[in-house]
Amino acid sequence: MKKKEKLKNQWQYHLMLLPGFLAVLIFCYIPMYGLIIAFENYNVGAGFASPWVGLANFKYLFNQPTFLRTITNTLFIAIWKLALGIVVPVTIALLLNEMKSSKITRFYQTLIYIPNFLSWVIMAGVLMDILATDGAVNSILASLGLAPINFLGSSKIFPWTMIWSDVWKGFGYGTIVYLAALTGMDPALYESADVDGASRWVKITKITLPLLMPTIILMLILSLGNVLNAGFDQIYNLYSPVVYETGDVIDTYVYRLGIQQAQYSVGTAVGLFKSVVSAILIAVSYVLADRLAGYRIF
Amino acid sequence: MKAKRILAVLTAAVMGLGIVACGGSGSSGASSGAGRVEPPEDIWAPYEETVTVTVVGEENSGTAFQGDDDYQHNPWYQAYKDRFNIDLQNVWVSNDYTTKLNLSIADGDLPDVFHVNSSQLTQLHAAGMIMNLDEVFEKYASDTLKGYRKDNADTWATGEFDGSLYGIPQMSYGPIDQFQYVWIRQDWMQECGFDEPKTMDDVLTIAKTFAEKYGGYGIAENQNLDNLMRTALAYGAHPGIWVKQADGTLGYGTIQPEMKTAVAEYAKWYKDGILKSDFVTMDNDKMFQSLINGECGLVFFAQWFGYNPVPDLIANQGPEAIFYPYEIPSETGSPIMGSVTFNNNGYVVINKNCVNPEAVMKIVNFFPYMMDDAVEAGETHEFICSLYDNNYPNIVFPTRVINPMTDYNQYVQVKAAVDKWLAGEEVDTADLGKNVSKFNSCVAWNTSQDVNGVGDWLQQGNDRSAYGISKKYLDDGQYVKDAMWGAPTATLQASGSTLNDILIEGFTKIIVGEKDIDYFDEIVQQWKTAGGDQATQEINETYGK
Repeated sequence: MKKKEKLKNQWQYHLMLLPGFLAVLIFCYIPMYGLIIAFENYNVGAGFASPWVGLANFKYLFNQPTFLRTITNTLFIAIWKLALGIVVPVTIALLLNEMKSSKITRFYQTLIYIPNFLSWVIMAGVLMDILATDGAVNSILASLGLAPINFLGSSKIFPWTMIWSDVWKGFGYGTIVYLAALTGMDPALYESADVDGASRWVKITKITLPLLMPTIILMLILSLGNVLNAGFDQIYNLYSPVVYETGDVIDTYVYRLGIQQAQYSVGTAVGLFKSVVSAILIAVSYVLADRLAGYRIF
Repeated sequence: MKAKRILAVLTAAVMGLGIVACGGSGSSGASSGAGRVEPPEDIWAPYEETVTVTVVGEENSGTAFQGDDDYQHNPWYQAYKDRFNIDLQNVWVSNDYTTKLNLSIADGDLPDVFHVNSSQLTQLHAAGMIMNLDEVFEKYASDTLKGYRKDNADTWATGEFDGSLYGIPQMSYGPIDQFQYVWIRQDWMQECGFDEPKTMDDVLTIAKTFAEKYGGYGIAENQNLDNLMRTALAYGAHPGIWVKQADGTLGYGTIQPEMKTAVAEYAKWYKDGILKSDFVTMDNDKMFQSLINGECGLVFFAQWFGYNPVPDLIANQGPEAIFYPYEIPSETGSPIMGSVTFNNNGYVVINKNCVNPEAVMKIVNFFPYMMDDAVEAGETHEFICSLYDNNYPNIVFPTRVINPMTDYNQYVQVKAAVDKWLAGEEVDTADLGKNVSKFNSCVAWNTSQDVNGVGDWLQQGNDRSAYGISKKYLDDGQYVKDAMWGAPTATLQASGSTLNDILIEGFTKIIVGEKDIDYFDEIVQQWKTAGGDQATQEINETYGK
């Protein structure tokens, strides 16, 4: 009885949800049928009716010396991006929030938000010039008497170049979200803290951060779905064979194998593998978020 | 609020299930809008009403378009229209043809006629997406084209399945275009007083001196190690082809001990600063850019270096900065052996759904006609030159079929004519046929330093040209033939480039010093387990006899 009444009161919401739901159904669920080609020796003419080969593609994949490392590379790069993608914007948002002049705050806010709008294709061209061994950054290092750093051509440094350049490009967006959360906080709390004689530092650690926590956790959970997306367009535009060891991620591997080398079935097998791992990671992080932060959705 | 959260999380979850699916089954890609038009009896006669044929093209930076010309509007396409009343339409033109075509194949969205490589040919035949050409070839191929088939039966056999022709082999300009050279910048060479290098030590001395004196680096290379594969010839390696090993079986050239020597040398060069410290991040265009900027004066490269980047280089650095090719020397000074592969640039195939395959045959006939028969047929010089100048033959790359003796004969003829002209004698250009275009550009380069002529001059205009060196290799039998004299075997077709990737990556690590040279053996082992052993076995079964 209660349930029925609820539905009656809420049918408008369900209606509004419908287009989004349909889009997800059509573009995300129905194409999953295509996963079948991971178990076939796919040829374009026969399509989905290609000969069935069972797990042969996966066997081939695990025989490739270049496959398993793409998973560790992906996790390494993605998790660091995730972590720094929260730490950096929160820090910057806190700093901007402490500014007295709202004009200056807005100026910085705009400035750091701009790189977010440039595509990685353009950004990669810029970064290649800036980070070349005879580029701007290394010229500065040289004038300080430091040895040049091979940002894009050394497999030790390459993942860090990816992580930091991604954080640099994207932190403006996160900063805005956190700033919005900060402005929404109850000023009465700060006023009473002032009366008690709390310092700025104490106010940040005892009031601001705890109040910001729900937003941080929400942002974290939302980005967990992307934990195996280490950033195809960034890495594809900046990597080269010498950094495959540490920089080749699942998506770039799928692209090279599946599209450039036309091994459609194997490419799909990698994609399926990624999805399965992704699903497990999401489930685990959901449980963790519930246990550790008491945050749950369903 | 709760609904919103659920949707947000649902979206996030679905994003995790990213890019797996690959939609679309092979829907009809036949794009002939106008429908079937009956062809005229005479294969050279025009259609009564205009026939539209679709094609896809490859960008080639060597093509120097004049005026308003482009890939769609040019003398070749105009000739198809004028001669046959055929309207050839580009669906797309890409600088990454193979990848783009793979996407189109996966999509099932293919034009009427297009160029494929051998693994795409196998795939499309298995998929039943391309036409059996037996009938249309028999009826509409020109005698010249049929002659090619007779003279190059082993090549044409690779385009057949169960005795039926599916892919017309495009062949190539001949083995003369397959050799490698060391290209050296002339103004620097003269200033430093160097002669032609006789040993690899000479090459290194030149490279080091250039780097010290002109403040760049010694030898140019790109991230795919394309030039290492050329340099390796100096150490007796034959990367990329299959060779007879000491035990009599066939093995892959890129994993032989000689290759290990070449990689070790390369690593030494990198350590000594002869290679650019960040060459591993440069693609071929970036490498060219660096040469154009005057950072380097020595590069191991193929015969077409004069077409790209030399014209830009001269525009930037002046005509004295021209590079000339030299024979790659060995360590000791004894002559090296070049590599010659089974000579086929790919196949012309016709979409199964194409309604006017005869029109495609007319287009395919036209290139051999212009190449071999145009002069006898009385075509005018202006017409011939309009098709051949400025590297315009590149435009029709997807549909052209080449007589493999073309470039050898052409070199002999053009060089003789240029020599005569340089000696101040009269040259009767009517004798030259289509080669008049090459002759004219060599003359233009020598009289007015026209950069559009420098490519032909460096490729075949004189003794010191690339073909001059190649001809010597060919005439003296100074080359090793690829043991895989035919189509690649199944494993190589499916995963040949994946296998090569493993080697390239491993070599790069050794070269930049991340691993020592013993890692070479480990890489070879990886290559073997990843499918190399199987490929070797197949090659020995098919080609080992």
